[in-house]
Amino acid sequence: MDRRVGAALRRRVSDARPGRLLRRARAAGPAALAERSALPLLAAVTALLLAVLFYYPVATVFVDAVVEDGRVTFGPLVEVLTDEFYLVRVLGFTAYQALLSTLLSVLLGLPGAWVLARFEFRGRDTLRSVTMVPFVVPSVLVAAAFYATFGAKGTLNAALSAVGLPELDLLPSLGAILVAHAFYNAPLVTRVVAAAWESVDAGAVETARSLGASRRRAFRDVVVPQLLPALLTGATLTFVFTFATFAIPLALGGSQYATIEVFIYSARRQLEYGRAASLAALETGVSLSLMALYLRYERAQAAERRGVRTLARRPLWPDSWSRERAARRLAIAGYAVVVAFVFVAPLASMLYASVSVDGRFTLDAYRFLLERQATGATFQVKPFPAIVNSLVFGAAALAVALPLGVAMGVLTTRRFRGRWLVDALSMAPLAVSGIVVGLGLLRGLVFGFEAFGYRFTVTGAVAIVAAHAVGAYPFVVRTVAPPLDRLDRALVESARALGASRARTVLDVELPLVWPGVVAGAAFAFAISIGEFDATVILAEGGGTYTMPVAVERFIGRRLGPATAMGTVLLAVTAASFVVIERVGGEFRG
Amino acid sequence: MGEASGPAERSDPAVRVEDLRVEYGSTTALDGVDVTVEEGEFFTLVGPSGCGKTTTLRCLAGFEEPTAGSIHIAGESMAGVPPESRGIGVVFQSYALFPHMSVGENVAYGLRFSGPPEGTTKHERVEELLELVDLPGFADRDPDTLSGGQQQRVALARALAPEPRLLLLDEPMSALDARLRERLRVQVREIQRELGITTVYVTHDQEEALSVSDRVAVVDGGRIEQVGRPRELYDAPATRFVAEFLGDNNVFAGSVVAGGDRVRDAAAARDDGGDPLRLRVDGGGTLPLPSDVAEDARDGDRLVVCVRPERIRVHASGDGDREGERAGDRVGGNGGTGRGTGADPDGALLATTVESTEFLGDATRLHCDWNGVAVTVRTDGSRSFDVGEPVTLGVDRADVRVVERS
Repeated sequence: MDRRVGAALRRRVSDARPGRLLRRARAAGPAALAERSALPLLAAVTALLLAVLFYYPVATVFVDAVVEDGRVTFGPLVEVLTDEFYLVRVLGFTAYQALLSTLLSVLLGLPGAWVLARFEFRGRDTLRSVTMVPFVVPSVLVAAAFYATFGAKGTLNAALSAVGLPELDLLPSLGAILVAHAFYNAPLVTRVVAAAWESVDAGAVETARSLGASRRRAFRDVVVPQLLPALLTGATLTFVFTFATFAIPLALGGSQYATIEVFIYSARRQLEYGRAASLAALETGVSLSLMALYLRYERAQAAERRGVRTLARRPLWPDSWSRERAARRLAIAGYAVVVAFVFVAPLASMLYASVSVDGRFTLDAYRFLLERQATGATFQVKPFPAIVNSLVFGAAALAVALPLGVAMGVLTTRRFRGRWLVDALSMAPLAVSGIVVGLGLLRGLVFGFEAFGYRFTVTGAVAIVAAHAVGAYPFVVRTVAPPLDRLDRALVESARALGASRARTVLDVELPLVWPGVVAGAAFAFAISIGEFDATVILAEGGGTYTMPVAVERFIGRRLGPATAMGTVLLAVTAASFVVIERVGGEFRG
Repeated sequence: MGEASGPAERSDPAVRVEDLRVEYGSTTALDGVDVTVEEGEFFTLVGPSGCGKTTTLRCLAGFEEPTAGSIHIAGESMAGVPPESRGIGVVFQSYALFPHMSVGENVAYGLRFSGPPEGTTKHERVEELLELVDLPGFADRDPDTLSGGQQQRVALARALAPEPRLLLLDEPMSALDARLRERLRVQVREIQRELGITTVYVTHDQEEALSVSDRVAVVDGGRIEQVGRPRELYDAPATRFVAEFLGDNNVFAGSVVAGGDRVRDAAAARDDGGDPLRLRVDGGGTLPLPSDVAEDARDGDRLVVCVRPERIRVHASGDGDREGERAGDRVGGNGGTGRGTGADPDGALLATTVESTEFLGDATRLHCDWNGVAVTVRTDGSRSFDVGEPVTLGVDRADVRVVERS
């Protein structure tokens, strides 16, 4: 060591020692006080926002369900629960289609997990990221795509008649609903099961083999038990999502295959708020119970897996062929055809339908979108304002959801007692459907509430932004919280020991290190807002605040061209968001 | 706060911890820890993982809220004082360098809040510290491009830059390989002496603890077992845990007997004026007991004693005389051969056989069997022993330490 430096340091240390703490403590003026109270303040603001934007509105739905003209009555609720129509026809059918959808999603998703986890091929990583796409694809987009494919004038019938076969009448049908649900949820099953499969320790399988287990036996005894929890996760989430499905049965099922959400919507259109609220309360009860059960299970399962050696992946195109290998490859090829049919064909058909009329290339549909004056009274919904509305609402929802989500992420990664409750409360919007949130915002905020002697009301547009923000912020939390949680705690503590307050540490250390997660969360939030249909359609009813998804739904079944053209615009926006998520936030996926 | 937290007085120790308790639900991490660290002292907390040493350090830093007890730094109560206001520097095992900042920015981070010391600029201070840790000119480097040892020295420079009153080191060497660890700990100790900064060091490595510290506290089960200078702890362990944790040790449990097998009554033996007490080891022969024990021991008392492997002499039975002489030279003629075990008041000879040997380079460790009791001996390695070879072990009365009595 340099003696001179050492001497200088020693002198300073001895000069400085007495009262040094006091110097630091004195620096704690009003600014430091503000810094110190920044996090509690953030928590309070976050809680208030959530209460106003989500908990209060949803609570009004529950109150509406049991209060009529200012007195408590269980009339509507009892009526719904004792009415065979509602109990069997509506609730029963909703559960039935959710169960079938779950089965189909698992059937379609499992082979994908096997291929992704156990085979090596070019584009595997890309394929893996693409399984995230359904999260950002608007449901009405899928409906439009299915119409373009399986509708009376869809590509399937065009193809059939081209080869001289009779045309099929596939819409509306239960099958279309199920396949559309699988479009959404099979990739989810693939994703979670593949992740579990990749975290199986090759050493454990090899140990089983060395102890005398056959390949099949080792798979059954070691691999399967580790896949089951993930499979259950995928299946439960699929059931919860498809139980609360709305846009797809609305567009593909008609009145024949209406789920509980569709009935809530029609009750709201007929201004029967009591019945709508009863149904909504019932549905939310079922969804929340399932979600709570699931969260409990997940918490019990939570175990840290580190440093595992993943099972070696086989090449998709083997060096040498055996009968078994050939059979497997054939199965994979068959699966690829099914995947192409379910996932690729609808989107391709939509693109095709948007630029063609009777097999002729035309951009008429897109021209129509840009017309400020729609062609008279035929359409209540004009396309151009819908595009503008979508973008404005998207930006506004992002402005609310991003800070809210980041704040929530920062707060939920703190370690404190009862954190799981905060986690659950902050994630509840994922389990409450957009219809219910929309209904609650309509009753609670748009119709207004009284406080401090004033009547507060908000416009439909503000309520729509609120609904979008509520739907979007959990995705921000999901992209921001995991990397925050994984940060070495010593980084934060080092900053604290060096003199940074808790809030300063968030700004100086934590956020810069999870920045990609924040950007990905923003892209997610924007995509969710752009594609949101359920709450928007409830709140936009009769007003001028409809968005692109609402417009698509209105066009579906009336004019295929505009529906698919707008669907294509939606697809472009969501695809762009996906690219941002994938490119920027890719390495931080949990 | 409750207590007066006035300015530091000369008489206040750098750190005073009193009856510190930390409980998580029903588990007790710290069960009443008392520690005093003097100004400028290098104080080490050592113990097995989960013993509470890191929890103690985290309480000092303010990362952990004690359930009860008090912490004073330079006489000021730390109750309710957040980590950033405690005037501490912390170095973690994981280095914890901010990956999005250069080496220089890392070192300068603490100066954002305290400012550089008077008469220097931020830039000068950073260079000064980097020179101190032997990394001059590294300011613009990316932490990722440094080796583990270099990263840890940057972390040390960063912790020292804002002139903390107290340096806290949490297993700072554990992630490094053995040779680097030795070099770095010498360097850390040198810097600590140079700056005269009070340091609390946490490690599970007893060798590290003994080699660098002014004083060491051995921690186990959330309690401090013993505090002292390294040599005191090594030579005079107060408890069985300390005896076994620091260095190698032979631990024997047994009952007190007087004068070997002849006199049965301890009191009578003492009255007789001198036949000293011995310990009948469970399942084995007898060992001499140090004279201080003889004062209050009773016949039949249960004791646990220990003998360091390097204090035991080895007499190969085959070449008894020559070995005996050599051993005798070392211990001053007390350990002659040819006498039966138990007869020598100041020592004992144990007839054993070699069970296994471990070659350590500078020494050889023998694992011997003494009538079913395992005895470990460390020899200088000048002679090799065969497994199954009968050897006689010489134990001096002065080398026997009582570590537990009931």
